[in-house]
Amino acid sequence: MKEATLGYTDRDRASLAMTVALVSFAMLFASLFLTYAVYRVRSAMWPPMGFDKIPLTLPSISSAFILLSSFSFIRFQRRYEKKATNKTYYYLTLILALGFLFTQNQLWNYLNETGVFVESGTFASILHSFTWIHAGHVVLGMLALIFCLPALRKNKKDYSIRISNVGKFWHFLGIIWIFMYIGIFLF
Amino acid sequence: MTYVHPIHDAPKTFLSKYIISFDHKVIGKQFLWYGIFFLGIGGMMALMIRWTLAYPGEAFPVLGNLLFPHTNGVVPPDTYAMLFTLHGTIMIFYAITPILIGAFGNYCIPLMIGARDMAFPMLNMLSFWINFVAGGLLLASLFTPYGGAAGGWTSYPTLSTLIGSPGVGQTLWCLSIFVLGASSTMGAINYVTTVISFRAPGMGYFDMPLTVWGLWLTAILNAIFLPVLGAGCMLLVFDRVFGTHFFLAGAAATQGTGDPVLFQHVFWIFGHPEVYILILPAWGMVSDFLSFFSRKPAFGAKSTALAMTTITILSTVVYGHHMFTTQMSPLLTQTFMTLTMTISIPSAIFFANWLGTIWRGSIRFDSPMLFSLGVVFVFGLGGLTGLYLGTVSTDLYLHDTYFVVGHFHYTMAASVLLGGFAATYFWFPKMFGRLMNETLAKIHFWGTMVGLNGIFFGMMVLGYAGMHRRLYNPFVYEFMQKMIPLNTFVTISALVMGVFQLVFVYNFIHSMLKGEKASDNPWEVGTLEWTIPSPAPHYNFKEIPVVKCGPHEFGNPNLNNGRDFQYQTEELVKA
Ligand SMILES: [Cu+2]
Repeated sequence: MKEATLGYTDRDRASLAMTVALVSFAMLFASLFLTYAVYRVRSAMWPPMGFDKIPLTLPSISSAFILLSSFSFIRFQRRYEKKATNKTYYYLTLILALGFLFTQNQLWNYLNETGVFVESGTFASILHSFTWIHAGHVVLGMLALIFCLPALRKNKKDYSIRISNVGKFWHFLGIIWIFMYIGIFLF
Repeated sequence: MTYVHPIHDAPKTFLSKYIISFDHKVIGKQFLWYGIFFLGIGGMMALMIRWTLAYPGEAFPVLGNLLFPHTNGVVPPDTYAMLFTLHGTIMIFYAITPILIGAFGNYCIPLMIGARDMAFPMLNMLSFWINFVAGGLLLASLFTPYGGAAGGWTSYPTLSTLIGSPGVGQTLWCLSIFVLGASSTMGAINYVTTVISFRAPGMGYFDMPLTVWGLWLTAILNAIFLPVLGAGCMLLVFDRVFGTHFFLAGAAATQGTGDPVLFQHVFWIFGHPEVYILILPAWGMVSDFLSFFSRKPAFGAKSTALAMTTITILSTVVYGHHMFTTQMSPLLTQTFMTLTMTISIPSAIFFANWLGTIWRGSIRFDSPMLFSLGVVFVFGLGGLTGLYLGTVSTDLYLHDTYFVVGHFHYTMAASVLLGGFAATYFWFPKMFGRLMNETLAKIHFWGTMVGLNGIFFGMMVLGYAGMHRRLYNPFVYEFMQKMIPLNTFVTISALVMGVFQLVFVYNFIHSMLKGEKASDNPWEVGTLEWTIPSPAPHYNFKEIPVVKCGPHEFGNPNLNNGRDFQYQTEELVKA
């Protein structure tokens, strides 16, 4: 039979595993979008009677925060790979992530103040629960970011695999948010 | 640079050796014990259900008075609903999944592909303990004020919303399934990565034993479709806890209407692949065992692997056949019916391959082979009866009858259970270094086989006669009163089958402690796990093997080393 040696490195393995994990997460969110699509297509008007469209200000700020944090993380990763340890971009990523969570919280407050409670029908249910589920994953993502903290220390160990995987997860969450922004808030 | 796990020192403390172990073999055994424990609970629940159907209004023997004192030992109606719900949930998610995927997936994959461990041992350990938490949540639900979930294992709304089942039981059910999903996904990540990247040098995909193929495809399906169920469960929890309106329709929802049927879609998008998640490992193992014990190369091994892959892909687009009675548009039902029928083609291919493998083989009727032949029989029956349910016209009559119950038990319970037993008897020597008693194994096989066919064939006949599933006392309806004797027959078969499982438990424990010492290769099989000592040392392979031939090289007339098989590490002798 074939005399091939399988030349998989640790990096290959890590990115393979991350790919499978992201497929799983993507399927979770895809199911949510499917639910949304079904309600949206079925209803005669959207938002349903008695509701207004949600103003775009808060969701747009959220989008800006999460996108900028992704860019900041890319910066951090590039510098790290060039061995130029840079704390600024790392902390900037975290701060922007906190900013995202803060604006999400503002959004929930706004919804509740304007009478769009979680129990007031499918429209409200979707707005609340989908943003909750996403925010829950953002919290997971932030824990993953904190998991990269040892990379800031000046030591010999190489954390580039970890950083690249955490980065993939973080960008994934950004992309999901953009989908939600366009699908749920913009249209 | 290719990385292989270094050889670690053997763990010393009890905790690191048996509890928080990173060793895939120990984790596999943990899953095995865990699964067998739940198999016992689920089996007990099945007996209570059966007792109620055969002897309605009579006290369940021995345990009845202990469990249901206020009804003098009779299973009460609400408990009956809880029993069939949790029987299904436990058997599927907490017995079959841990045994076939958790135990044998963990145990076999690294050994059969020549690796020292899984790609991520830590993730593997977490996967087991998170599974353990999920099991705890489910068992805890039994002790809540209104008892455990009672909306059926499918948990359809409105049965599973607060209207249908008040109390925390159903919420805990959803959470436990969600946590279990996380655990299984972690396992799947590990399996997929391990199979792709840790195969021994020289082992192409088609040099992998078909067992590994089955487990690998299962892991892929798991990673893709468990999150769908997870999303459904999460939304159901939101409905129950936060008052959202995803699955509440009509008067229950004040503004905007949710849709109970949507849950069915989400559930079956996951649910149909789940059928294959459960059966694929068993298929893979049986394909291997038939070849091993016929002392013949697996007939069309490559096409078997490809047929399994095709089924895996097709299984993602047929889920609608579970919902023909939900007023789906005829265009859709016809589409789903046609797609479902297409699955017959790859199924027929690998079924023919199985028969081709045993055709004119010099068959050794050891216990793993007996159980594998059992799988061939019961899966044939289960698969063929599936055609009646995949066809719209017949399904409209058979839907929600005991025919369905009989059918899916033939495919999921009977086939998977027999496959699991075959695997247990086959790998027991490698796991524990001792042989199981063959005579007891054969008694166990025939007892199980007779009991199981009595149960499930009886069920199909009952269903064909029109008996509905999930009824507490069907005999209040006049036309079903004639079915009491047949129901009694099914129940007695179930009791027989239950009794013969005790033979297995005795054999398992006795052989583990006092069984005959096993040689390194008691079955004379050439796959990689049989090249190392029994029980497998904690590092598996002292040196990573180099694979030179396929897993089914038997009966080559040019072999002149006194064996009728080749190890995968040996250069292929030309036939
Ligand atoms: Cu199906």
